[in-house]
Amino acid sequence: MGQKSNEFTQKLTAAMTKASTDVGRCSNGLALIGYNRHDMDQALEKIEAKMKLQPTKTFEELAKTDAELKKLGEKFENAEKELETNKAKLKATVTLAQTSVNSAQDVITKFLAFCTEKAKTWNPLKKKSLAKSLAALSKANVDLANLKKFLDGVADLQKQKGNLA
Amino acid sequence: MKLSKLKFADVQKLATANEAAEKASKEGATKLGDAQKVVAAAEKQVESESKELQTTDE
Repeated sequence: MGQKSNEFTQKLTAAMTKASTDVGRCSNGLALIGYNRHDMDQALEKIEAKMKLQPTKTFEELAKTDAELKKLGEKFENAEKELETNKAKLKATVTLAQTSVNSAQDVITKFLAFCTEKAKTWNPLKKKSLAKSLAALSKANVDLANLKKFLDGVADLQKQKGNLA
Repeated sequence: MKLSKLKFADVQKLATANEAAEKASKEGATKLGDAQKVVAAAEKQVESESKELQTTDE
């Protein structure tokens, strides 16, 4: 009996550690995208200031006689290339994190069912301890469900043009 | 996106969209970081309570 609980605990903590690590990777991936956007933003700000002086001309026309503008354009396009790479990486990381969260939830569901079944024959002391475990497991389940919604939101944003992806 | 054919008004639009996306990325990263902390705390709680459950099982 104790052995079985121990197995569930080990499985669950391993699954939750993995979920937490994978979500951390998503967070880092989004932060990298934020830095790329920031670099693009800085370049665009300077490009805007230069192009404002001759608003009817294209970037190409103006860059022919303005070396600094040309350099800014290259800076923008390089940051955008990095952004595309990081977006692709984030997509893969989000998928991985979604899988990890699903696995952790699956273990919780099985652990909860196991505890509920065994509690039918337990004495009051065990039941008191069980109540705490059930509360912790249920809370973890809610936290993971919220996390899953948020990851789904990130995945949806990636599908929308002009947003995170 | 190639800048070559863009005029000032196009660049302005691009800058506005990029700024919004930058904000969304940074907010998303912060929210995910917070969510990660919540899950890590839940993990410790589950571990601790389950240990107690095992003890009473023996």
